[in-house]
Amino acid sequence: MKRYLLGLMGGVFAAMAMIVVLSPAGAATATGTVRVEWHALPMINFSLTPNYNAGYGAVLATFGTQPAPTHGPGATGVGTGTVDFGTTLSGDTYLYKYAAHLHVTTNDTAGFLVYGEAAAVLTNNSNGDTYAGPTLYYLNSGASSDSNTGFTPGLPFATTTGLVSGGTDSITNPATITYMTYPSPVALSASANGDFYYDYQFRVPGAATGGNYYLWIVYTVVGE
Amino acid sequence: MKRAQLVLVALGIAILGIVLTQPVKATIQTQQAQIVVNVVVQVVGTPIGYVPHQAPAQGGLTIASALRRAVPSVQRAFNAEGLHFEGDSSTLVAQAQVQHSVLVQAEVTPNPKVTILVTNVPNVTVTAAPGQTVRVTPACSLTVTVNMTTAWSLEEGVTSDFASGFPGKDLANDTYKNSATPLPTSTPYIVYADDGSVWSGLGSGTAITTYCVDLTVTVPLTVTDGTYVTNAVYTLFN
Repeated sequence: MKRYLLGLMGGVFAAMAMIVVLSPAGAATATGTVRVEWHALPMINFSLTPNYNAGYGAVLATFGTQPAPTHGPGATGVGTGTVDFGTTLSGDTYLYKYAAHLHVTTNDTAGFLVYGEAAAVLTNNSNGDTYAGPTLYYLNSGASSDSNTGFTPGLPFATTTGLVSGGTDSITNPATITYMTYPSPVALSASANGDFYYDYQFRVPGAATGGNYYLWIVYTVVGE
Repeated sequence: MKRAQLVLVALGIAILGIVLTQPVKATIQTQQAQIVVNVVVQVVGTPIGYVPHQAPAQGGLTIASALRRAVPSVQRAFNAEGLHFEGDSSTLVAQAQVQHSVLVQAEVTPNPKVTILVTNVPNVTVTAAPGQTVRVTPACSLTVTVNMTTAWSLEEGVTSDFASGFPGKDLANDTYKNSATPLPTSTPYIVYADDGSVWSGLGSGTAITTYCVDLTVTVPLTVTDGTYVTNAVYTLFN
């Protein structure tokens, strides 16, 4: 439908130009230049890789010597599975190293914006309890090195106000968000291509009951 | 030689006896709990508001597109003599989006010590312009509560600077018991990463106590627009 609109507009412009050019010679006409510009829809290629580097996994927020990262069974290997913090204690803070790598290539020379939001609040899959408010934070990491700790400042993922669908399976039915208005971006690029590396921090709510929790983080890349 | 050794041993025993019979005045403190408050400073130097993009309508697609006018529509004039496009009203913006998601999981076990040190909010966000000092309002909107009735001490600080050129000491706190009145001045936080990896003492007691923490941030003139963040950390010992 949108392509049709674009085509229709092009046709209108062309017809207008033809009218000007093909006007009867005897009529009192003036000729001029018609300038038509159009913007091609930018092509965006975006890949999201969880557990993107060896050494991925969670560490308890600790000052000084850092413990070795561990992870739950959902994190099945480098570049695969979920970001699974494994066993955590309520009230504690954990850093998940090498959580997500966003690789974006476009043909948009104006660059692009990256939006990242939680599709829903933190939910206990065991009993349905939910916890509003920020619980998961993101912070910049490196492609193959990471000096962050559980106390390195991060920014909270907001819970979306968009329309959420999916989210029943990380492979066959991941969560998606339909936006009417985009939120503030979590990152931007002034060039056509870009890589973003993120660690996550999980600040386990003090009131969290025991159980298995989940949260979907949805990234959306939009051309400028 | 033997006599000298015997004298030394006797002296050592005597000193040990004196020490053991004295009341223990110093105790080794053990960390009981530690909580973090995320402090975000939005630096906005010019009064330009963020105008979000209009998202395209989509029906569950991961790729979508839309056209919209960049400015309110102005009627285009056309007559037999030619074409006339007014202003930038002919500008149409094409947008494309691609979406992917990642599932985050954790198995949570209740922590029996989780309630001994709590804060009422996990985050504080302040908006300020370069060169401006802003105090978070209303008063006592951030509290830290110690739920212990045995001897305790509480320490505080921020983990790191907001950024190079935006030191953590530019965040100050006016901390007072919630039954008291605010202090006349605020005290800059000690910065753990810069100040020898230590915290500063906030208070001690033997009763359940709630502190009001009124934050004040001063943004250096050289700081550019953006989002800056640090963590205020409270550590409880007994």
